[in-house]
Amino acid sequence: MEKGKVTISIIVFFITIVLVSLTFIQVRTVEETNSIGIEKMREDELRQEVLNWKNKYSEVEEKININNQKIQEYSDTIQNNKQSSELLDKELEEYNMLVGKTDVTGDGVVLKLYDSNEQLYSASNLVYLVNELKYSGAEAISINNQRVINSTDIVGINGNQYILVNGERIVSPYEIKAIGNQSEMDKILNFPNEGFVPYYQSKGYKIEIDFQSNVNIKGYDKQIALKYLKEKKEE
Amino acid sequence: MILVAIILGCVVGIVVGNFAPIIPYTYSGYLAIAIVAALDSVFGGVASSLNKKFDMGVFLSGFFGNAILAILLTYLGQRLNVDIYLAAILVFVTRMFNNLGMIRRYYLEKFRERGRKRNSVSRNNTK
Repeated sequence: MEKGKVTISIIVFFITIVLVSLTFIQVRTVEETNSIGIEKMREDELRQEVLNWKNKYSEVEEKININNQKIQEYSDTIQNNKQSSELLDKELEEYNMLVGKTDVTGDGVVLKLYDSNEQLYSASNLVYLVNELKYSGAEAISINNQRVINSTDIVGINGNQYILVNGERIVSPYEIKAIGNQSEMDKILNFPNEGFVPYYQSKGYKIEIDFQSNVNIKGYDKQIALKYLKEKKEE
Repeated sequence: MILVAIILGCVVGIVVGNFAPIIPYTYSGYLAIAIVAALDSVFGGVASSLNKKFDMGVFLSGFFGNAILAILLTYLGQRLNVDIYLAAILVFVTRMFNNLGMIRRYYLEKFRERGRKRNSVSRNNTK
């Protein structure tokens, strides 16, 4: 009888431990979760909440995708613009060079014309020389660092007392630089008897001609403005 | 002696329960149903001992068996999307109230009997 009671007591002891400890663990678990605040919501509400968040997430993701696409498009456009503007820049550069607004360098010829006691150069001599140079394929010409462009005037004032190029007075020695095909220019300028150099030398003018590999010609530094020209539009 | 065992068990249980790590919230439902099942077994055991029908084997198997069964049923219910644990709780709590009622009646009866005995004794004395 006594032995049975002890056994029962031990069993009851252990069972009480299990029950009480489990209850305490459960109470603490619920308390901990309470503090987080999720517990207050019912399962349905939680599900609903999760669904809402999922929807929001997918919406936001979609927006992000759309925005990314737009960004891609924009950057493509920017790239295109950059390319076209680079192309335009290059074209502008070419046209500037063609018009004569940029400093240029290249193989060419340098002529020096000196006024002497016997002969004085006139504007028309220079016009003739420029014409010869153009004929021989010169791509850029300057007279005493005045760039010869489309609108350049070479005129003599007061019976050739002054020579004006681009409206600026120039005096002897006249240094004419030209960039172009050297052999072509050599052929035409030094053409026996009739070329500019032998012909003028034979008349007593003083000329030096020198073919150089790096002739530097300055650009036209004044404004080029068109006041009267308009483009004729095709009907 | 049993009372001492219960008190000691309570003390040790409180200490263990306070220092044991808490379980994830997901599983707390299972633990709760297990506790209810165990409590039901305890009250059942007390009631049967009062009726002089107490069997340690029945009590122990009921204590652990009911708890494990309740957990399994709850798990099954969650799998099947049916709240089986509600039915389990209903059964356990109903039985708990029944047993508690039985215990209450037993002690009430005992109390009244004692009062009656005392009354009869005092009456005999006065005679």
